[in-house]
Amino acid sequence: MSERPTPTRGMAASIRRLRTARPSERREWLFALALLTPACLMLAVFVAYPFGRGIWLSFSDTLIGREGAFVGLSNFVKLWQDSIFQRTTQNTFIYTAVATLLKLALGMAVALMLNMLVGFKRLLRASMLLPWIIPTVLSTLAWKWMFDPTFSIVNWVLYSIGFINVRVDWLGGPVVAMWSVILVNVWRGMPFFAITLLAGLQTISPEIQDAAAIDGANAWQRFWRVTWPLLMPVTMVVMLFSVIQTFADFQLVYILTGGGPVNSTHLFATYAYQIGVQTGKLGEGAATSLAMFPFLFLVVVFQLWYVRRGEAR
Amino acid sequence: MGAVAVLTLFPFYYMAVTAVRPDREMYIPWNRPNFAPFWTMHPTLEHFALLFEETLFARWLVNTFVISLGSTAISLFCGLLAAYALARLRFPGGGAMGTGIFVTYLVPQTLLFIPLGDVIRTFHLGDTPWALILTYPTFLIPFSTWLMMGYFRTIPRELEECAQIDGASRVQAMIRIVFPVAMPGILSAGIFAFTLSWNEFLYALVFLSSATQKTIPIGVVSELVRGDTFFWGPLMAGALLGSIPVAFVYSFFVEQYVSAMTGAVKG
Repeated sequence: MSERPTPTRGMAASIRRLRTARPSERREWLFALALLTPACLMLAVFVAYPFGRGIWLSFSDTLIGREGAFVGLSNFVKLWQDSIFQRTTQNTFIYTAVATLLKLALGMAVALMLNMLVGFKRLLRASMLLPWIIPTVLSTLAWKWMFDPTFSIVNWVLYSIGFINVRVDWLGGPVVAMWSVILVNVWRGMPFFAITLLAGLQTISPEIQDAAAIDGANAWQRFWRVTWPLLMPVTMVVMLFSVIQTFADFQLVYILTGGGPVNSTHLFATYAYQIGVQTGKLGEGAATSLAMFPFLFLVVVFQLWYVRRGEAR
Repeated sequence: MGAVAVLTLFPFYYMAVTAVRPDREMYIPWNRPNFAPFWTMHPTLEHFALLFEETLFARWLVNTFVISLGSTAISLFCGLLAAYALARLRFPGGGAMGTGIFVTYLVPQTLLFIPLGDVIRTFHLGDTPWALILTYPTFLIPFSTWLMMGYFRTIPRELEECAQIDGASRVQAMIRIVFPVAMPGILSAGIFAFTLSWNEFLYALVFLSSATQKTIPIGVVSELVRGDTFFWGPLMAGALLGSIPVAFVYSFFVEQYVSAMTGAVKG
């Protein structure tokens, strides 16, 4: 993709080129078309069509097994006035912001440590990635067991070192449950940050660091003035990926709290599941998950803009 | 660094210990003096036995394997061809299509699962393995295309041009020359796609309903949790067994995983 025409001008140019192409060029186009057909077909049937269908559903009162009628914006109006949905929106943004920032800070620290490490680097890096590789639902079950109110090993450890002196029900209260979910999300997502940032760090020449050190920069200054700016492109892309994944998360909340206690820890996806699948209100459920769309759209547009800006330089 | 590693790995250790801990030892409240969480003196295989005798765990294992393999094969086929076209051929609209694939790559499963479930019902695929074999490629194709495009770009064009001068057709040059050279990239994409399918939860939860059709993550969660009762021993045994295949593949292909992961981000 060396050339990136703007959509409209690109389209006009494409049509012009179609008219004036030489036979050898045409053969190449046909070949490309043939190669792209299977992928495009799959994505058209199972992504583009469901997307269109989802938009229709969100404007209808469809239930499972009963096609509904067009009801305009009433699903969205209902959500807007729904106090659980308001809570859900707030939760999702807090969850995304806090978890992403923690993952970035911890991931960066781990990447820097791994980069300086001499021995055991490969072994540590490999074991670091495990939370990210193992099926999330299964490792989250282990966390749920660790958080169990009666048999909690987390309580036992914190009590033993004198950190707490009362029983903590980690998933029992709205605020503490949200923090527990964030903790597990950070545990699971941090390796992705650490390993990707490490890959970025390894492309930075140590000579630049040395030069800055000779010029009298201390470690802190070297990080903020040299490493951080050079790492910025990688950091941005990893952050944006993570923001999308965290914002649209489902599994952690579904397993750990199921959105409870009393619907206080729902994210968009778990609330959409509760409405659309468990109660069978497809229309309202589709509207709930489409509520994620505006924010996701902005993130994707920003990401495309950022990647292109980097390429233009 | 050691502390970070311990915190990272502890849940897996605890999963393993719980899986072999007898029930009478497991359900001791944490504030009793005889609470000994880190090890057990009486390891048992009773939870594993229960898993295979009283649940369909073996069946779920086979299901998960078949579904992961099927969706990975479809995705690699589609992704490989598309990546070659996007990375190598010049054609009108190629740039826009590359961007389109990238945007699809960013679409989270949770955005479309309700209408997609509806589409699955329309096609009468609900509660069959095909519901997953055909829908997992929606996130695997964009990912593997993106990864392999990056890989194809590192292979010099001269390689194909030489083959074509020697009389090979464009298709022959692609299949006989470029694909074999791209094998490491294909392998990375393949094992990563396999892992992603193995780990998938939401689609399997929504599209499958009968116990015989389930995959491991769904089977474990739905059959070993009854209401508010969690059967922790079998649950952890199931979680352990469900994690081992992925961990096993991972231990052989750490480098491919890392390159897939970092490559998928950079493109």
